Amino acid sequence: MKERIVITGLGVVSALGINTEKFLHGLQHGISGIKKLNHFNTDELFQIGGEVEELVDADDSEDRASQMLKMALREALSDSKLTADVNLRVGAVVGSAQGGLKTGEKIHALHARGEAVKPELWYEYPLNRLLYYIDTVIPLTGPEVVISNACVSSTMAMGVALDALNDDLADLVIVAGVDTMTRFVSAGFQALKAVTSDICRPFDKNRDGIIPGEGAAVVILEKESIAVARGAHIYAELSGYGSASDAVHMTAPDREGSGAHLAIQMALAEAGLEPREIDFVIPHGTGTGYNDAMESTALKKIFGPEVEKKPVSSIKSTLGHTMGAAGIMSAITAILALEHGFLPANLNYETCDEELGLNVVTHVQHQQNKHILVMTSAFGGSNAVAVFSEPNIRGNKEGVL
Amino acid sequence: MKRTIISGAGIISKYGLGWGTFLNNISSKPVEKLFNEETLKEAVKDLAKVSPYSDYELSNWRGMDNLCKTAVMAGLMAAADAGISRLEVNPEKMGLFFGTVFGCLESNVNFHEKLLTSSPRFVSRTIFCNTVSNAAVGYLSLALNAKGMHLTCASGGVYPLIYAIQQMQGGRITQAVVGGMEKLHPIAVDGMSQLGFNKELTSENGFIPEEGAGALIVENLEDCIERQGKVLAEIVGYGVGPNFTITMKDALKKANLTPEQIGVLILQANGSKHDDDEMKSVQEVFKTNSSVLELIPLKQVIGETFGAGLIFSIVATLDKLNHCELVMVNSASFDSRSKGTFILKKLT
Repeated sequence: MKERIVITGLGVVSALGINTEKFLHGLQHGISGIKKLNHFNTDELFQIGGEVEELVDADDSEDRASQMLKMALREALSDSKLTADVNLRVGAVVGSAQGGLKTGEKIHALHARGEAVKPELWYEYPLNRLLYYIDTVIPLTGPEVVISNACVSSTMAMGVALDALNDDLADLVIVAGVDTMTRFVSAGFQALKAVTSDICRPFDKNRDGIIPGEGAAVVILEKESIAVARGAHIYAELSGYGSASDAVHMTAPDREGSGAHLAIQMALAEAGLEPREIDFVIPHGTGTGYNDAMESTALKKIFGPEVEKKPVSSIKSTLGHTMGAAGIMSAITAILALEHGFLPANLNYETCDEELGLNVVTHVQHQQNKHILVMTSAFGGSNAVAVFSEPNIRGNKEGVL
Repeated sequence: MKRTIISGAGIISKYGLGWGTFLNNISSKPVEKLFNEETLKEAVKDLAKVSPYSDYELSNWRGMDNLCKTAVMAGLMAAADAGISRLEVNPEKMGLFFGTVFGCLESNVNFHEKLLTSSPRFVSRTIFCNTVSNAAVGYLSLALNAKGMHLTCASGGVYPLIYAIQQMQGGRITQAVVGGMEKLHPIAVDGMSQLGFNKELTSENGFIPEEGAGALIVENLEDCIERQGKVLAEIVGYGVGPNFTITMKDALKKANLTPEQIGVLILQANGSKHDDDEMKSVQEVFKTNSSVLELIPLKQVIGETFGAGLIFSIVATLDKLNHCELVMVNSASFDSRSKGTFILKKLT
């Protein structure tokens, strides 16, 4: 029998603030992090998004993505009572669609003008750089992996970490997700006509697109026996994971939701759960017509008529679409919902879309949860799904290493 | 415990198309400086000779980033080599796992340049879709109708193979295309030169950047035998960790082997300052036996191909397995992170 893999530390940098406490407060009070964008040139682009406000862009030595990752990492390590001298095999899996893209914009601009690019800028651009920052805070002695699978990157990172722990390649894995809002990304989403004309309304009948966002989040995953032995507080169990391709279209989701359906089936099978045992669903819920309809189709296939009772809530209208970090943002939402017994609101939902037939959570609600399903989808027809469960044992909140 | 084998391979490199040609040519000078659009069109013509893929058309490349073209072609060549028809695979049990370092840099540069010189209203949505590293796996999923577990790794080629083996062992897939890909762009070469990695800048300490794509068909031995496929090699062990001492020891332990049983070691050694550390690890693990072990610094011959490096190294073992039962392969990303070791065995 496989050992349980549990979560013992959380760190979040998002449009709701730069720690988990602010993230939780925002979710429990239905606060939106969407605001006017300030940190990059938005000429001829949409003007609002899920920007991280409390971040000052430093000099060229550190990209915005690296800054956010380090902040989230330090919080998660502290939360998990981990220090750099930990005597465990520590791995790291980072999910990011574009990594140090803000630095990339600088490099490309200098290159286009034929000007010299400083070496420190080059260091910041490759996605592998994100591992270096983790290694400087806590020495890595296990697998070191960067997943770049567009908007499912950090969900996949959790899946990879889960299998690394099950395969005994590490005792503990730091899982991170990070992506930043830039002119590059904003222009791309606008070219795709994927951006809303006013506000993001996931699953609403009048939904018309996404609101981009940014952020970084970290979860500490480890074997239950190790968490117990070192007295760590256990938030939740990562009980299942699955990924599947639509193999239908590069950017549009499969109208039948076949990839999402298969990924959910895999995750439920690994968790050993029946669909009826899922208490709450946090879908990708981008607010585009096709994505939300696809997810509704997949959920109907999984839950059957019960889908109309199953609470569903997207956090994209709260944080914006954080791209490669989207999965881990939803994961931390699920973990907090398990710990604190609530359902976050799917903000801006006003008009029911009868065709979707979902039970969308319109206001923050109290509800004890045992199992929560998190769904993500991405360019390339990629789908990744995770199941988080109430822990077998909670451990010690005041635990020491 | 299921036994994981390699049943097909596809290579696109400056040493030629296909793994047989690659093996024949790596000991001689490169066939051509760099592969290009014409080389890839040759690959499509070659593929058309194999019945299940004769309908694959160049029109599928419309709007596709050049990195993706090489990866898709390598994947299809591997499937054709393994005798796997995309019409007959179980789509939900076919996984795709690829590694890269720079991803679709050409599309990224094109998109950036357009954005710098014109209004955001005039940027291309097609190019934007090609800027993500997983675009290649997306295109390959369409070409092969593969719907199972998948992954695109931006820290090189080691982990896609490990993850594929894990999924196979867990029964979530029965077949996988495991690949690596890299397409050089002047902007990346310039960056590596600035950082002192490029041999042209630092002749005594650096590597020669190269490009290419490679893919393997990985499956369970029993399934391969049942469909009467060929077995090129069995993957009997793997290890990951912060240094090659740990990765090699773990791979040997997983394979239940002793260092003396390994005949050939294909090194990561790419000409960088990290090579010395790898040699120290070899001496530590193999001790006195390290003097009789055949060490092959493949990257000194074919260059550093980044995300494609592991697949090229594994394909090179197929030649060595003709005269040696067990071959070990070390691999890491160009900056010496994400280290891994694999042990391959000849099946008779």
